[in-house]
Amino acid sequence: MSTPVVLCHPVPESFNASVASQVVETLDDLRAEPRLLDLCADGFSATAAGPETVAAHRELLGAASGLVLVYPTWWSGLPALLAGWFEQVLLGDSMPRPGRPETSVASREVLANLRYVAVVSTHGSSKFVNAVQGEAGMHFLRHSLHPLCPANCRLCWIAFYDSDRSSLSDRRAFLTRVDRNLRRLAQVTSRVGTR
Amino acid sequence: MRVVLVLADDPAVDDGGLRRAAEAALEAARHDVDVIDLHDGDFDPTMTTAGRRAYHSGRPLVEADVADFGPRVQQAEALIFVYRAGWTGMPPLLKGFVDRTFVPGVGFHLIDGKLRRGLVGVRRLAVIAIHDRSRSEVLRSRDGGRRILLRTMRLIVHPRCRRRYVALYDTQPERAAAARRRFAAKLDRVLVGL
Repeated sequence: MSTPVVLCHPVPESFNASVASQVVETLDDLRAEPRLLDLCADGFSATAAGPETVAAHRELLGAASGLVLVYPTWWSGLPALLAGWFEQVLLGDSMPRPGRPETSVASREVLANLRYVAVVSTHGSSKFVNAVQGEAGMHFLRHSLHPLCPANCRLCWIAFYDSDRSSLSDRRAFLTRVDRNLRRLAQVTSRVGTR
Repeated sequence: MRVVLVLADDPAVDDGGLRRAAEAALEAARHDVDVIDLHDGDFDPTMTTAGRRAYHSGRPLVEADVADFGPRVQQAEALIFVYRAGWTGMPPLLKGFVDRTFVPGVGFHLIDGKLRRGLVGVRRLAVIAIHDRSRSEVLRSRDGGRRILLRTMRLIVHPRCRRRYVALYDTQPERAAAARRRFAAKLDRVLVGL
C-alpha cells in the first residue's frame, strides 16, 4: 500500500522540501511506497481544484495505510492551500455541511485504511509563543481530522520550533529526528496490524 | 474609527442578509469603513513562490493581488472579519488573506528572530462567523477560526485591544429563528459600539 506524503511549501529549495525528501527516503527504505504530492508545484487550487485531481487524491488517500503531512505552520494553523486540500478531498463538492453525519461517513470511508497520520511541521516562533498563539493547526488535526480516522490510527506530531533562529546543525538534527520517529511509527503500527 | 471590514463569505450563498446588516450597522455608527471583499477580484489564497521568497526580504507584498492590502490594514483602528466557517474553522480564502497580508514589516516585525507587534494602531478586533454545526461540535473541534483571528492575532495588535466574537451556530432552518434574532441584535450592538 502506498503512503501519500503531502508537501505544502511554495519554495522548492526550502527546508520543508528537504524534510519531505527525507520523509520519502525513510519511507522508501521501509518499503512503504511513498508518493509525494507537492501541492504548490502541482498547482493545486485552494478553492477550486479540478474534479479529476480531487478524485485522484481521494483515491490515493483511500488506498493508503499512512499519511504524512509536511507543511510550515503559518499563523498557528495550516497554510491556506493545505486547508483547502482537506476541505476539497475529504468533504467533496456535494457539501453537506461539515460535522453532519452524512459528511462524516463519506470522510471516514476515505480515511478507512489509515494506520497512522504523521505531521511534520516547522514553526517560525518558539514553542512558548506557539502555545500562547493557540496551536490552531495541531488542534485541527487532533480534534477534527483524527476522530474521523479508524480507532487504531495513530497521530504522530513531529514539530520543529523556532526555525527563524535555528542553525544548520539544528536542522540536520531535526532530519535525523524525523527519520527516527517515522521508523518507530512504522514499527508500532505494523505490530497493531498483526494483532 | 477607521474600520477595515474583511468579507470572506461567498456572496453566492444566502447568508440571511449578514453582509448588509454588518455594513448598515457600521454606517449607522458613522465609522469610516474600508471594505476588502475577498470574493471580488482575483485574490488567490495560495502563498506564491515569489511572495514567500520576498517574505523575509524587507520588501514584502510583491504580488499585484495583495500589494494594496498592507497599507490598508496598517491604517486600521478596527479589524472585522466576516465569514462562513468551513471544516477547518475558517475558509481557506480567509486563511490565505491572513498568511499573505500579515507578513514581516506589515503585521509584525522580527527583531533577532523575536516577534514584535506591527499593528499597534488596531484597538478592536471583531469576528463575525456563521457555523453550520452546533456550538458544542464547534467547541469540540476547538474552533480554528476564532483561535487564529482572536488569539494568534492578539500578539500583533495593541496590547489592550478589545476582542469580540459574534457567532451564529446550527443554521438548520427549524432551529434558527430565535438564534438568528439574538445574533442580529448582538451584531448590531458590537458593530455600533465598537
